[in-house]
Amino acid sequence: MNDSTTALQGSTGEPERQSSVGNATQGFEFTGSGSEYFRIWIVNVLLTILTIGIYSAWAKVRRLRYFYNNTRFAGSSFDFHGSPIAILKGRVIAVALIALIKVPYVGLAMLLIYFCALPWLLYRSMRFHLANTSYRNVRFAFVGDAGGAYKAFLLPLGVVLAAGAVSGVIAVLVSRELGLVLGGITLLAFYGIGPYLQYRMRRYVTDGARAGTSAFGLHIGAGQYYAVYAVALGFIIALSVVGGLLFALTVGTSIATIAMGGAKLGTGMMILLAVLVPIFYLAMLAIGPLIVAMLQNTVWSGTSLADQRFHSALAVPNYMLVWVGVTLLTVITLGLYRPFAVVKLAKLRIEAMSWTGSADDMIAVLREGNQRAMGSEVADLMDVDISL
Amino acid sequence: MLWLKFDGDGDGNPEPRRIALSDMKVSERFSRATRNVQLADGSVLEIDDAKQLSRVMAAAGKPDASVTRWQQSWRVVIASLVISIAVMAAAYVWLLPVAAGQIAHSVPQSWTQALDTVVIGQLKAQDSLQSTALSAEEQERLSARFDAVVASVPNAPKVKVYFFKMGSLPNAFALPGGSIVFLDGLVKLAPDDDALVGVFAHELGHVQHRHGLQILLRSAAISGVAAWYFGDFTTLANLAIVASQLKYSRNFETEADDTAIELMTINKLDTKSLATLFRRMRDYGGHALDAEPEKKRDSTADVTTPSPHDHKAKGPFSIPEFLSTHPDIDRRIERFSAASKKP
Repeated sequence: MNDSTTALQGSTGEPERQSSVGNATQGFEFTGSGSEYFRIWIVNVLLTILTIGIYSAWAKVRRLRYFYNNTRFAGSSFDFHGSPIAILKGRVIAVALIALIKVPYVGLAMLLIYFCALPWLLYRSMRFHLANTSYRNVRFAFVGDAGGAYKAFLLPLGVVLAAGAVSGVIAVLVSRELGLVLGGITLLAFYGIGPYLQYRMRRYVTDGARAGTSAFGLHIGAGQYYAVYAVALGFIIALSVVGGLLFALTVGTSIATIAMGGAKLGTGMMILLAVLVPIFYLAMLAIGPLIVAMLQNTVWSGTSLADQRFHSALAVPNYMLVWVGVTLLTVITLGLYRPFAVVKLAKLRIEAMSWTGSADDMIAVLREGNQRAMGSEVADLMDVDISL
Repeated sequence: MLWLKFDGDGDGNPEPRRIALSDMKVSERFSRATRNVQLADGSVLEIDDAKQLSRVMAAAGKPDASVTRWQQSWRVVIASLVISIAVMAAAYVWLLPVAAGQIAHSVPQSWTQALDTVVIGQLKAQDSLQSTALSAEEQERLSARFDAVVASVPNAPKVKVYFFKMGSLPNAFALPGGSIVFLDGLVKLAPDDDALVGVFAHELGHVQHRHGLQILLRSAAISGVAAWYFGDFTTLANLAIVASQLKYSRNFETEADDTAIELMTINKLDTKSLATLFRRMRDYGGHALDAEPEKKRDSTADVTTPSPHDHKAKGPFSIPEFLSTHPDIDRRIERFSAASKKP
């Protein structure tokens, strides 16, 4: 080993970084680039293929590190310390589960087991990811327990399913009509409960999350989740009306031209339709990013760390447009554009985020947290990461 | 060994520190990301100049990992892209058929029989399969002919024949577990029982070669890889699966036709009647297309699902053979006719 004298600039422990200290609100920054991530991705693809998938766990760690290390807040970046072995174990279990679900008869039982295990998987995954995330040498942690995940997820769903069973019994024993009405209400509740479940999950995750020992807080209710989905529903209805008009226009003009003895549709109308119909389909595609963007704004603007709020100001229409654009490019390039797409979307989402405290506040929060949390939340050896 | 000189206020120690390379855990080099150096005492250095750190580490005897260097080099990246495509293409062309064949033949038939029961149950529940209108005597007569064919095959697989109706659709298909379904439309269209025995021999070929299970295994492998590659872009993944199915089922049809000709010859039946049946099915083609059932997911192989190609006379252009799941029906008719002329 060589001896070498260096002039590297560095500092220890909790560094007082020079950059942007003291501003009232701190924005998040993402420094990743599409072309660099493309190079990382393609090497990951090759190694994953050559190792028949085993390397994919290492690839995932590389990918997470790339995104964590490139996410900056107040001059410092995040880091990920998860072990690829834990991820590999999780993947082996997941692949075995999926393979078993495809087997007839056994599959049904496995599906049930998987369904019942879902909250536990969420709990393990949160533990794994937060315990392995650090910022300024302070580890994050997840202190929620498995029971909380079951209460948040299976309990509300169980109530609805039980209501369904009760209305079934009523239909058979008491009155068919009453049972059918109750069954209909239960079915509506089953679909309507989605945003509430999502809210309960988020509350479970946020309430259990710690930066060092400092707690996060969620200050919104289920109502805000329903508001987001109401907007999405409104978007779908508006699109359907527009789509219906387009259809009527097509049929109407066809009939009109035929009635007037013309064999062909007017060229102008043809071009108009050729443009409008694809736009209609693309707009339908954009419902996913609409929900993602609105939820990010709602949830993060309602989240706090140590009594200081986060804020998310993601421009929703812009995010939808970019999402549609990069998805089209990904399809056209047979997936080669995907790494660029992922970076572009991540940059939009991350840079929309800020924290209302100053960098000094954050350092104070972390310094306090670090003293108490030191060493208590190291991922245990038996850790398994199930999320794919 | 590295010497680190701190001029910050970290621990108030301005003296340079000597730290062994083995006591440092250095995060990977990315072009614009901060690099973290974890020291043995639990402290972390954040270093903005990623390149400089790599230079220093290399000089100290610990250069970047190979993967890190590959990721920075466009030459390696292009090579990775080319090799990835080549390996996947080779695996698809050579490895996948062999592996699926090997696995399919080593799976006991009893395992796949459960699958058949599920598929038939589902098709009946959807009302895709309706009860047959054939009389019990007719079913028994045909079953007896089929049994004779099975008896002429050494180590024949276990098969179970079902008669169902699917509108007027003239078709028959085999499921992975050895269930062979005859539709009323086909029985009505057949010039004689010999033709139906030929169809049975064709389906027996599918069962014998485990075509159904092979297709299941292949599509499972392809959908797994496609889901991994495309991530959440599922439409694209599904397209890849459909495209990959086309050529295989054509090869399988040809293989099953071989079995049909072979078994008909052994049983001294004239393949001409099979050719006649196929000709009638071809002419029926245009109507049957609409009635195409959804069974294709799990079953493989019908004798000849009237494919878009089959009614080329009607369409504005003829669909080339590589796009259709079945070999050109005229070519198959010719094969059966030619086989009949042989002594």
